[in-house]
Amino acid sequence: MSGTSHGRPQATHRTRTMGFTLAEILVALLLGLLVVHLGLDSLTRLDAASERIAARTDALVALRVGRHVLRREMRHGLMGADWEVGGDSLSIRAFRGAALVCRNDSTTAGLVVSYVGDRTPDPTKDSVLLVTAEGSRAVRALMGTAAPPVSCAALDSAGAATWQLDTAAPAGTVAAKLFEHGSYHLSGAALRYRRGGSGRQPLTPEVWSAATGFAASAERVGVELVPRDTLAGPPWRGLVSPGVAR
Amino acid sequence: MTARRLHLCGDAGAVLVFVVLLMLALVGLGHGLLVASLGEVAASSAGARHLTARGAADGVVSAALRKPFAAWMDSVPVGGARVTETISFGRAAGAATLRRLTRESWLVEGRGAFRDGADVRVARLAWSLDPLERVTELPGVLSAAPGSVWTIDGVVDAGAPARVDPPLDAADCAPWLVDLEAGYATLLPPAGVLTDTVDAPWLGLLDFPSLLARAPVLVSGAGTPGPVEAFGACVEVAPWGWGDPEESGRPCSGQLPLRASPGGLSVVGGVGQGVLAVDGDLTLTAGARYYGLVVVRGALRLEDGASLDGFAVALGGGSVDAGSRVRGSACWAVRALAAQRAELGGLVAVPGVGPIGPL
Repeated sequence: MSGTSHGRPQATHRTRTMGFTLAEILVALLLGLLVVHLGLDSLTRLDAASERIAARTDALVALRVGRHVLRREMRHGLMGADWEVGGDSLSIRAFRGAALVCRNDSTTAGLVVSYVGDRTPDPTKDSVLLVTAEGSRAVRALMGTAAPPVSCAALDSAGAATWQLDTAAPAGTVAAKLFEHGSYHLSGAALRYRRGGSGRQPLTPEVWSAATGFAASAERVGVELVPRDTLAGPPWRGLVSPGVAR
Repeated sequence: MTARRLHLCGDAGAVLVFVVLLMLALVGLGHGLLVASLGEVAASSAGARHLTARGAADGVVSAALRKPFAAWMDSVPVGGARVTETISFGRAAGAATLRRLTRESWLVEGRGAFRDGADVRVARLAWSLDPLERVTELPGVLSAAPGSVWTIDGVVDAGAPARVDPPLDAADCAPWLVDLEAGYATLLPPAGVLTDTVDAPWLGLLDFPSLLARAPVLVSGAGTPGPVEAFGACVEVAPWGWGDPEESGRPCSGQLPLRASPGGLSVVGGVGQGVLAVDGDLTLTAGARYYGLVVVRGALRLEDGASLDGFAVALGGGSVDAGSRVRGSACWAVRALAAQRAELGGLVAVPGVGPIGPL
């Protein structure tokens, strides 16, 4: 009796303990599955969000760099005279600096100038656009540079130099703009620069679709930048140059 | 029992580790988002600062080019520079410097600076009429476009362009006398041919439409000029009141007006001085006397005892009939142009050049 009475509670206790354990396992399994499900779902969303952020960041970088480069290059030249748009490309005199003329020696074809620019002149690839006081323009090849025979500090923070040209500069030349020939291309999903006959170097991440291109008219030039990935955001259409010769 | 609970606790621990890792990943993603956002904000802010500084630089250059001629511009030597304009553009400041390249050529440099150091420089080539330069570049007392002909039956005196004859005296030409004497050391022909000129009146970048637009008073048809006085003062807006060159001390003796005609013009007798621009043919007749600079798109005819003291540019050539006279006086021409510096001397952006840069 006592054993029975003693054993019932034991049996009951065993049964209750076993039952709670099963319930706990079931609940734990369900909760575990839920957590795993939520976890995997979150990982998937996290991965998608990372991709979207990366794509959006690349598109923004490409937009910013492309727009800045094109605007900066085109604003220093004149449409038709210094650059023109054809198809997916922009052929351009890429200006790299400017100089004021202190002395023009027509005999030796030498110009003593005060020069400021993005980089130092390079006779292997640079040419010079010469401008007279009344707006006449002439182009000469830059054959060499040397130290000036006289001082020339016409521009602030400028360096003086003698530029040797292939032929003499016109009389009345007051300013010179240093440039290299190049072309920009909206192709291969990126903005690419090509100097002379060299390859097209990408300047931006490769994020744009084939619908990207220039939109030129007689009065203005714009671009339409269409991201290849819809995650990267909407297309951007805008003006990069008024285009009117000034 | 203890081992089983420990086992269960082990399961809970695995979940906890899993959740903690997941939270770490989420925190990482959040930080990534934050960094990306801050990067975008920084890039956008830098772009905004740059654009603001560039706007200030462009704006101050435009403001400098819109300003009328200032008397101090003559005091800037070739190679010299002077700040001419400052503006505020948002949180950026712009300053324009005029740098004199030649007597007539200027570089207008604009600098836009943001508070944190963003600095943009732009420059435009500009031109401003210089009376001495314009006159001394003329190839003759009478100048015409290539292919045009002068028929001279009267007198054209080109012997001493720098000489000062009555009614002028040396004081009237003092500012330019030394340069004129140096400039006319060699002989000046009575008639010369303009070079590289098709339809420009040899006033630099001032073409006929610009001249007509800048003339405060237009005349047309035929008329007789003469001084117009009222209450002891010169009436300078009278269309045919062209000053009083022959009566020093009179109210209109110092009036050297700019008069322009949009079509052909006949001056029948009378007297006048200044700059006369005619977008057509000009005839001086019946003893008309003019002192100064004449600029004509068509032909210039002096007939019936007319006289001109100064220089003339007629793209279509013209004639000086017997009994008429032209005395080449550079002083009269320079003096007439100098009197119009306020109207004609403002800076003009040189077309076809674009910005000078990058600087």
